[in-house]
Amino acid sequence: MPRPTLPRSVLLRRSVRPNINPIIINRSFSSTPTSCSPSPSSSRQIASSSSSSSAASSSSSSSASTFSTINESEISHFSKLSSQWWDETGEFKLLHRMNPTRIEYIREKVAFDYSSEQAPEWTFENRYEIEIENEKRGQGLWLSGKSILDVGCGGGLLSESLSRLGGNVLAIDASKENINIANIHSNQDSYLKKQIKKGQLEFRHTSAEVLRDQNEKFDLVCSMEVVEHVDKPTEFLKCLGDMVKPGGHLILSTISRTPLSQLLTLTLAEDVLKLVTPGTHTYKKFIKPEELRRFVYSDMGGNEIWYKEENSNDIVKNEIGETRGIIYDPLAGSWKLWNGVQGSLWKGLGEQCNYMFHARKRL
Amino acid sequence: MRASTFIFTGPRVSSNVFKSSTQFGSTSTIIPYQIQQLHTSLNQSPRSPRSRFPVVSQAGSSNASPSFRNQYGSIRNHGHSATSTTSEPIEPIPEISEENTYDIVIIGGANAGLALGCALLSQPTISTTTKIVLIEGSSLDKTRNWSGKGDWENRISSLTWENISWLESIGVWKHIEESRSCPVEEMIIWANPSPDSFPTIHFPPLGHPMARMTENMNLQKALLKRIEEIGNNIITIKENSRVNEMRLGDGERWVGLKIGDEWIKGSLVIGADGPNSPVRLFSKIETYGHAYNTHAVVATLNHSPSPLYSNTTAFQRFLPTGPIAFLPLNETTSTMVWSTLPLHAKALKNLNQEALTILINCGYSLPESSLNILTNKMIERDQQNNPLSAEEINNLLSEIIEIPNNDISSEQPILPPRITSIEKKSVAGFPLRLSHANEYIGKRTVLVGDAAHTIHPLAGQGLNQGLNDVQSLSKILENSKILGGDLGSITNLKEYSKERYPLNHLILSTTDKLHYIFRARNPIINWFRGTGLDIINELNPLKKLLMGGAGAGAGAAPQLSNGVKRDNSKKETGWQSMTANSLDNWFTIKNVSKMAGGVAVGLLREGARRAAGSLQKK
Repeated sequence: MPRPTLPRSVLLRRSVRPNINPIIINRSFSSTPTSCSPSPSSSRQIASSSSSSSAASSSSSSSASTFSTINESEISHFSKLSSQWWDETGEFKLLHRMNPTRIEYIREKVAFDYSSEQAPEWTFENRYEIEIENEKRGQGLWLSGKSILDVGCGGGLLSESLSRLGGNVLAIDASKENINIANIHSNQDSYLKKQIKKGQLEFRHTSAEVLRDQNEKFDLVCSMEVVEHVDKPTEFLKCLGDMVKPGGHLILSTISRTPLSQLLTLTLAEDVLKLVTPGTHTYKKFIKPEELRRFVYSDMGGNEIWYKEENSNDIVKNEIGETRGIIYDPLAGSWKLWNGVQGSLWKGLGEQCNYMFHARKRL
Repeated sequence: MRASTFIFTGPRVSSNVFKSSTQFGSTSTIIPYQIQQLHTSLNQSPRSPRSRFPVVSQAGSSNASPSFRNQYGSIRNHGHSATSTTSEPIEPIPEISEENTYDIVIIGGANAGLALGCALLSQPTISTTTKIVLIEGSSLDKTRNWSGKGDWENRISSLTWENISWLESIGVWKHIEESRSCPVEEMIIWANPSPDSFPTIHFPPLGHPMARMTENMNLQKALLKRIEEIGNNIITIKENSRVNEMRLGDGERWVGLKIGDEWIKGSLVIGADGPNSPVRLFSKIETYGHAYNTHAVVATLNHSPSPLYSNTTAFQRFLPTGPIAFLPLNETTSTMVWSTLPLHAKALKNLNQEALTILINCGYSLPESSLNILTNKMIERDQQNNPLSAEEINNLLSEIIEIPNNDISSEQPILPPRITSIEKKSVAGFPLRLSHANEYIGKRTVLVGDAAHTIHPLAGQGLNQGLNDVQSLSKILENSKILGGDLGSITNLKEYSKERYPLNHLILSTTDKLHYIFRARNPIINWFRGTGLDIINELNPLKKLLMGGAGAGAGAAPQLSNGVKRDNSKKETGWQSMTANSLDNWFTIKNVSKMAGGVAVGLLREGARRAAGSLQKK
């Protein structure tokens, strides 16, 4: 290890961790590539050290990626919590409850993406057939036939759901423990076990960069609550963007950097209510929705590569994708997607803390 | 990793707990005597004959249930004590083949179980992506071959309008034998605690039947027919299959069930297995509640058709011992549920046919004071093993008739038709009990219908509650399936208990309170009934509850934001109905305040008179 490892107790303190690596988010989340130039030596070692331990990715270590966005201390943090991934009433309770809502967002974006198919032309004669067809959208195995990458799968919460919906899922995580947990857990379920056997669901201990270097492409790339845990989120995002097939979707969820998110996710959830282990999140690593949208516009190819957001392209310039607030209703004990017109104050309010991001690559 | 083991062993114990009821249709199963006593409720036991009146459900006679014993052969009354700590080595569950692997296992092939099957089939995603098995302990041939002819079953329930609409929307109602399902257009409820008081609640016709009295067999046959019609390859029905053992599988991701020598597994096991639910025992969910110290006596009544009115009015009279209900079946047949003290119930069942006919007529029409004399005499003679004969009752009546104020039937203008005879073999009795499971959800298990709650039949809500549970659960499972959820996970299922538990609890406790209020005969409550029942008569919400409207909002699972609307029962909206509703409410408020004002003025006047009187005396 190139770096001295810190005692675990120290790792748990949020205040300490930010010094471990230079964190590259600057306020504007700017497009200047220089600001996120990696220190290649140390990162490469991290990437290779982690990949070498994984049989699945060992073959790929030769085509070593130039760097890794994996943050070692984050990985050890989540590895320690790995055994709790599937305790629905424990550490990841909020995440379990968030899962259906995330899928709902994915469903809205992927299954109800009318533009992706050649819709039959509307005629008076076939109006009912079209209606019936539309009613079938988002039902049954609405992800079947889609290749999906879940980056930072953790215990596989999202991946299992995606797989149950028929998707051909590759789930990766930088923590070996997480991958083990995910594998064990999925194999206990008869349907998922079958999917694993058929190669429709795979958990792999590797990093997004390695996959990108292998030139893998997917119809849907998801990375839920990961961006705020990686080093150099800019590189990480570009890497995710590269792996989206033309016509495919990129869907992220993360946390905004606002006083409200500090209060809710750090002060309340971690320090006061202890719903989440203190040290799980770092305020400075949070990204604001508009920073994300602008970054995709300025650094990830802009309108050439990505579709404009139809609902807002008249008011929002120089931005790509849609962000959507996702808020926890403590009374109902569930998460809800926040509605609102893009750019309005109301919509902005909902994105003060957790939010989803979606962008679609041009065909 | 078998975290929990629960083994059903033991032969089927056939209990003749209720002798009188044995012959009726009850396929059911066996429930060891002790459990039966503790958990009894209405419909449950298969041996218990009819559920009726406004009654309830029979949701799920637990035919699939074996007798429950733990490994030591002891019988426990509460789920929590089912053994999990057995030191004997347990044989591991053998590898279960693909073909025996299911997503959803429904245990119980009575109302709740079959309705759940139909409800799940009506959900587009569930019906195309899941494998369901329904396990029933006895043969369903009796249900399948029910002809809808001949004698009436004595297990009859009222189905509310909302539930009928729902059954229609999922394609079940078309299989119902409509000639054997009687609409209830009006309902009259009264109590006359003293000869000069006749508080009555009248539920006027709504423009559609408020409920339909339907034999449970009729409903079950329709449900089964629907499953067989569209459930091919989706729902496997395993009849004559007894679950001998249930065990939680690896990582608590599935439940293994041993049926005969064969193991099957399912991600989610739904207990629609009746009041003594083995699934509830397996899940270690306790219930709370209390027995009513009341037995319900049921009988099919014959009467001559009314030349003026069709027989579509339900009657219920509250006696100090409990309600006696008259529920129409067709022009010349009706059914009775008389909830009363166990001694009284026993005496009633021992009467011969003519004597019972006279007594039932008295039950509907005689003033309470006279009826008391009669029933006391009847119990006394019954204890001497010498039940009253018809002649003796007539003699007694002629004595009682000398008591003044027996002209009650003229004061209580609307009475059920005079009964001409009863079907002796339809007479049966069973104890009543209120119970509610502490939770609806266990590890990979969920309870619906009678497995979750049993209720006093007076409001006729038991079966309807079960159907509402089923609607709600099927929508929640559909939503969770659309979102790739693990069907048996607590995160998914908690929606169900969040939605149903408070509603069921409200209905259970309201019914319980009504039972108490209407039965009590102390002066304060008499006063309340005397002056207050008319007010209740004006209170639509309470009436709605009694009519089954309380369940109307059930099953409204959250709509997905982009989801296709699949709410089948569209409520009529629009300014006309809004205006009508607000007018209606306004008149309600006006009438209630008028009456409350009248009461207050009366009290004031009375007080002033007394004050004046005492002043004068001075």
